[in-house]
Amino acid sequence: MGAPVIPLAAVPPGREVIAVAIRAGRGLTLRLMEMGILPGTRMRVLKPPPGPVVIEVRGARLALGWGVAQKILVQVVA
Amino acid sequence: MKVKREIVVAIAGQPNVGKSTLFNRLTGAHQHVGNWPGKTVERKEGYRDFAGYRIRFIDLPGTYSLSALGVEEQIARDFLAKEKYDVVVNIVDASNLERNLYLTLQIAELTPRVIIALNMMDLAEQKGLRINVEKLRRRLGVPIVPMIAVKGKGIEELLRTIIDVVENRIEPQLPHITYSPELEQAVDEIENIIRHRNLHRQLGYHPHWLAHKVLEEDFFVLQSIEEKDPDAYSTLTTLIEQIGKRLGGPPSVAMVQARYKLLREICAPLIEKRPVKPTLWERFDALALHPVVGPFFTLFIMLAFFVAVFSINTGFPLNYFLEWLGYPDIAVTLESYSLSGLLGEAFSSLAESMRIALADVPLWVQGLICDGIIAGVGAVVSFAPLIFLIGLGIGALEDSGFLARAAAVMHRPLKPLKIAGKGFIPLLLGFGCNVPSVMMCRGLYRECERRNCALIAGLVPCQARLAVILAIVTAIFSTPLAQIAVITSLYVVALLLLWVIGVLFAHTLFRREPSAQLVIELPPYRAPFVGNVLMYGWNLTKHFLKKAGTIIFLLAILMWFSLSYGPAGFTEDPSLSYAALLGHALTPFTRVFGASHWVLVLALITGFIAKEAVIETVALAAGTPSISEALGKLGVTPLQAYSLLLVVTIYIPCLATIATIWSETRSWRYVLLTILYMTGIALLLATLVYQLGAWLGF
Repeated sequence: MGAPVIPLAAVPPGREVIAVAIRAGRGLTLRLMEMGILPGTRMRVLKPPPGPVVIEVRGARLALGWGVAQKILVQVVA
Repeated sequence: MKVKREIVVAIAGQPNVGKSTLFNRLTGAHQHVGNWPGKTVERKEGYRDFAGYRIRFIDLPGTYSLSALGVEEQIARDFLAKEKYDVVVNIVDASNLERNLYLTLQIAELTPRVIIALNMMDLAEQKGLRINVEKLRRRLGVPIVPMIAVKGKGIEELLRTIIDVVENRIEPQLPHITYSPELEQAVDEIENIIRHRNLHRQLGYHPHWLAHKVLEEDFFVLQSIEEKDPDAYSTLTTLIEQIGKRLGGPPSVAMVQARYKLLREICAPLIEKRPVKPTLWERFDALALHPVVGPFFTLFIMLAFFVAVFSINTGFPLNYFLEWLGYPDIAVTLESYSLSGLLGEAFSSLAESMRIALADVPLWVQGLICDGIIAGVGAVVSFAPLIFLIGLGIGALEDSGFLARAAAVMHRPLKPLKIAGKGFIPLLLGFGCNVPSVMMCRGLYRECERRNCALIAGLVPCQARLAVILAIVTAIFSTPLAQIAVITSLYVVALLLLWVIGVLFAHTLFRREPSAQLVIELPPYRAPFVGNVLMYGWNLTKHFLKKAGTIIFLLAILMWFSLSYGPAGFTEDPSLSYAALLGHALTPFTRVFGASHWVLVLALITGFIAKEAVIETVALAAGTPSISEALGKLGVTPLQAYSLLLVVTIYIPCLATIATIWSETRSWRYVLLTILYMTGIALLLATLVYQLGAWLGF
């Protein structure tokens, strides 16, 4: 697990990452977690910024604003 | 067949799982759409007679969870926690099992009587997933009906399963979630306080469930505890803080993690996954969501839809375009054969033949029937085709997955208004007509967005206002350059105001709401289900005719009265009416913004019926069909004309829009606020411009 921890917004397309932490307010954190983004969750970046960040997580496709993607810290695994 | 008894079934599910499709398949045409009490959220109810039962289906709002993050979640869980029902049908997307079952676990905390409708089995197959349904059924302990709702597969079996559960042939038993010992202990501690203080009785929830919600620091639950029992509230919040310290983080996070951990354990062994290639449509997302191309692409699709719908309805904007190309004849033909052209023709010939038939009755009766009632009904009915067409279009765009993309790429510009990207759709529709614009605010995600959007939607200059602007501008300003400058400036002022007022409301009325964060699911592209689209258009039109229609009709009659009655009783000459009297009385005040002739004031009053009436009134009262002659007769200067145009563009929305704002928000306060702020700003702005212009010597 040596990969550096970076914001989701900084991940290039096509990479698989594992969420490490969500640094957001309570409401947004809960919302993201209930939609399946938790520490330890594996997801794939389909499209980086500019514009919405698109990820695939637990079989669903989510579009996240840049501000939101900045608050999700991840490690690139593949 | 005699109905044995009535049973109530709630349908719960996450967004984009085919919930509307299931509801439409189950109830067919037997449905009723209203609002949840006091909310801008749609409430759909319908029934189906099956096996001697009348099954009443209640469609709960689509939510990812039952945590009270928004109004929808609150409605869904209050229904499940407090209302009487026999079974919950939880519709689940088979291609996205883990996240969908998250909601299932939360429902299970409220009731064991759950049936899972495992929808989109075909999509799961396409995604390379094979689910062992039998094992899942045994593991979860509830009946599971695999289905493809779009094709109607599994509907019969679902109905039979509902009856099996109601007649106790099947007893659903969902697995209990066991949290960590620390969390379980915390729940117990909280539950003790709740029972001791009798909070569960006061709030009407089950004590164990309430304890979970308190531990999750559920906003609505804590707020209502604070209202009912401030002492208990402070005891509980201190306790949660201690628990948080013990756990080394907020308990809510630990609870979500526990639920997902259980789901992973359940699902992982039951799903077989083989790799598949991304479909062509999925690659298409790269274009639709592109930072530069995406917005243009979205705008292009929306404009195409806009031009198609409005051209069928009124000829606009295709008629202007044809005129501009040099085909005025075709433009006129298009207009008269448009839906509202044909309807208008039908209603005016109906009024004429009634006038002949009623030749012997007193004039006021004739007037009331022909100019009041028939015109009033005509005003209501003339909106119906437009609303239906827009319903079809938006329904199709939504069902196909396009609207979610549009919302994602259009997120930025509306962010300061706390409105998500989806808000640009109602606002764009406003350029055609404000009525469907206000109605479409219902598609936004949060209550505050819907309300803010409905409040400012009236500021988008609609087609009727464009007609008035064009008539006056061409009559008063001679050079094309001046004409274009005036028209552009009016649009810029209106849209700038929309933005500023929207931001203002976001930070005053809705200051407690967080700004809209973009977190949106992009469902797979798919062909829209015709049944859904038709039901959507039909329900929207029905809602409009019933709710807004009544008010539009009453206001139209009221306006007829004020224009046909004066101190001398009934009159056919509007210049002798009460409205004209009011115009005369107001003229000393309206002089400050340049409306120095009472006819102009009367025109502004009649403009409330429909904006295009401004022109008719001016022409009628001045006694000439030519608008430039009429304005000349009234001595209108270019400066006065400009200030008048500012008022017409911004002041009070037409009565149909007002009625729609009421029927959507169910709040007279919002209606009053809209009327006051729009009229106030219009008059203020016009006065400023007029006085400044006069001072500069224009």
